[in-house]
Amino acid sequence: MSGEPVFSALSDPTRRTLLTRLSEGGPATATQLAAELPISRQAVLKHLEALREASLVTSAREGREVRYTVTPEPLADAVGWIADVGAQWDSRLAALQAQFSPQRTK
Amino acid sequence: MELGKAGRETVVIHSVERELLLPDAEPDEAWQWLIEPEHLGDWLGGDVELDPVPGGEFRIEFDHGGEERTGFVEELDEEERRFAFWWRRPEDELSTRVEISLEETDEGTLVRVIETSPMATLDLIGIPLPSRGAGGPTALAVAFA
Repeated sequence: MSGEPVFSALSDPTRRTLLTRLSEGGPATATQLAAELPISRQAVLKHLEALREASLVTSAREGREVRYTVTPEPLADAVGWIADVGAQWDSRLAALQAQFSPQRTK
Repeated sequence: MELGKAGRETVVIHSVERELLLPDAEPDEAWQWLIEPEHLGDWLGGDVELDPVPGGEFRIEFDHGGEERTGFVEELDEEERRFAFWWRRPEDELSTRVEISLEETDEGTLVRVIETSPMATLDLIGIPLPSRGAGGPTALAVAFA
């Protein structure tokens, strides 16, 4: 597998959001994802297709819908790590900012 | 399987980057908040022990019975205003690298934080990366902006 399609697939923030959602919330259909995110089902499908072409998700037909699952495992680790560590720094930097706010308390 | 340079494109590389602009902060003052243990602990949210020299010990015990992380100082460059350290939780095998730097801008002092994942950290320092999981190379070259 070449790294190139992976890189370009992940260069889009919406696709990273979709991956994070699939990684944290488990497999989902395009309809479910569109309901949770501020984008149309059509747009979700287009992004999922890009992710599937880069082998970042797999799809499986379930009745009338297609369910998408993150793959492979290390990517799920990576997406989870990025979400966790990012949230930690957001909170720490907010605390640092508070130290320098005009109404600083100390 | 051993993944060296040739396997780069199949290796997970990722980092988290954040920026914060402090309009009211002088760089000298902000720098103290990076390297003075008590100040650093105030915003990292724990008790920090820090030997402020390259190779010096770095330790934090997060508040409210939180986890402990230990590591060491890689770089503490007052002139460049760049502070880099490595830390890890006791249960983790690999450390992550944290770099915090300051930049003086017209709008104020810009704080930049980059934390780099264990896998990327290995790559950074030229250690062959392990493959993960069954079925050969599974990871990906991911350079998150």
